[in-house]
Amino acid sequence: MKKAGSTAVVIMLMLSIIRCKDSISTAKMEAGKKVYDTNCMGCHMDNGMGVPRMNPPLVNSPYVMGNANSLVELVLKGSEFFGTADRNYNNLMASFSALTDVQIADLITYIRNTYANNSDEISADDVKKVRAKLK
Amino acid sequence: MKKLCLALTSCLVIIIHSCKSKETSKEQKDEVKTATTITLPSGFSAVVVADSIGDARHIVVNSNGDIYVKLEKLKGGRGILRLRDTNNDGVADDISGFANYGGTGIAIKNGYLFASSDDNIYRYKMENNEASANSAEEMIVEGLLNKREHSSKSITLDNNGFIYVNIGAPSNACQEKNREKGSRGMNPCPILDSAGGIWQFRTDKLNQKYNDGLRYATGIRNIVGLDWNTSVNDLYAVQHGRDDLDRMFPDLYTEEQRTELPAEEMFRMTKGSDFGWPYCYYDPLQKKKVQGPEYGGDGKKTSGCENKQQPIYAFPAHWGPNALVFYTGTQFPEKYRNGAFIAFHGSWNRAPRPQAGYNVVFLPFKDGMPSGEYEVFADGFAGETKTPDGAAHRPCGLAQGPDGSLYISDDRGGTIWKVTYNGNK
Repeated sequence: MKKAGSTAVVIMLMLSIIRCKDSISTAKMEAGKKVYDTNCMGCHMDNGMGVPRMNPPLVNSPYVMGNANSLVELVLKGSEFFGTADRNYNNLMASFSALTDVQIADLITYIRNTYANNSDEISADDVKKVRAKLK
Repeated sequence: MKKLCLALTSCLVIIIHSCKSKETSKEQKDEVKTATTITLPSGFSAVVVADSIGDARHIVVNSNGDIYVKLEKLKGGRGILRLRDTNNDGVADDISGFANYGGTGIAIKNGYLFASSDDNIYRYKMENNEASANSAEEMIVEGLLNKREHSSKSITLDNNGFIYVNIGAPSNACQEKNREKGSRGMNPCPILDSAGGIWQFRTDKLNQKYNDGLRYATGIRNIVGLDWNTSVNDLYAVQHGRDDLDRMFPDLYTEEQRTELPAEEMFRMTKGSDFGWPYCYYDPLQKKKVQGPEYGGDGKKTSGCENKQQPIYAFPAHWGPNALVFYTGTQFPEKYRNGAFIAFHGSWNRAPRPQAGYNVVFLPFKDGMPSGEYEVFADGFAGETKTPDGAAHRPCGLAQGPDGSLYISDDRGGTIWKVTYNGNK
């Protein structure tokens, strides 16, 4: 009985996730996952949980949950500008400014929807604006 | 539609929350932790000496059986714990602590306890055969390079008044832009002046700086496990090999190659040894050092690597060797005498392929050189999920007790095990 109940809940949950993500195209999420798998998964792991002491998790991360433009900035600049105050994670993130605006938009949309339940969608234009400001 | 979505999500949040609070209740947590049993060869057994004591990095056992544990981060304001077993059942029943810094290294020699932060090395004179909050703290080495990446400082001592400390390179392969795809390697690598090697200092001189020390060995990316082998009087260590070959140079390497390359190399070093990082890495399949792609290598070329010192053994890639101890006791069967135990913290750079390591292995030695292949000695630390985040325990430190027992520390669950042999010899 308990098992049937949890199965039903899991199905409901899966449905809810699919429905919540209705607004973002599957193609964009898939493109974002591709960018993630190639560039990010090595450190942040396929479940987004990172590596204790070395690479921070994306799940429950204030940077992933927070302002999307700040996250774009972090991806473009790498993490060196954080300085040495945060001792919890020792590895610095490299700059990923070589990725295109479209790739970064897909990536950020993907990780925010996958690891932080932010259902917003970031466009290449949003990335372009942040990139222009940094120059 | 939005309402349905919201309702289902709240429902889910409540379910997750209720599951979570159940899982993390104190009793449940303890139950789960003690349920994680490690596997050992026939005739050996293990006792959990202490549990949930903090991020237990390296450990050392004193002649009276007291265990000193270096914590990576302070717990209850203490960076070194002393675990004492007063009723001789193997379980620590008297735990105290001191030192207001986190770190990794700890050792005992000639009546002193030595310990390291990520910047400095300290010593404590032991009175009545113990170090405690009452012991005077003296700084013997200060201001070692600490740029976060590979910043932990492991220590070991020889019998001639010297202490050896690894200073890890704050870099993966000395690229112009660290860990950035395609970035070239700096040549010469400027990091090697102050890191990427083992430094030797005196144990009897206070407040030493770089200038007072000697760069004993170089061309080493990062070492966490090192030990002075008293049977041959040489320094040995196991290196954390480089990461991300395919991510940095996708045209030259496949994901499969990156998973198995390079080997975690074991070094026997003497003054002046150069093991080749960042210019070279050891390919266990070709059984030689090859030029790194950051320096023009293609996975086969050996330019500039011919004269680099070779490893004495090659362990599987990315396992993360965090402790090394040569076994000198007589409690374990004869084959273990003067052989090496290595604690592997467990991999992360194998993702998305299955992670590996998370164990303690034994490598037999004869006359200071490996005399066979490694075998897994203790396993099962990770529990059901063998990932850096999901592992219940990650082996990090090793020490031999005065009775020849082997102690293992874990910086994930904060557990210390004591392994003894009860079988026939």
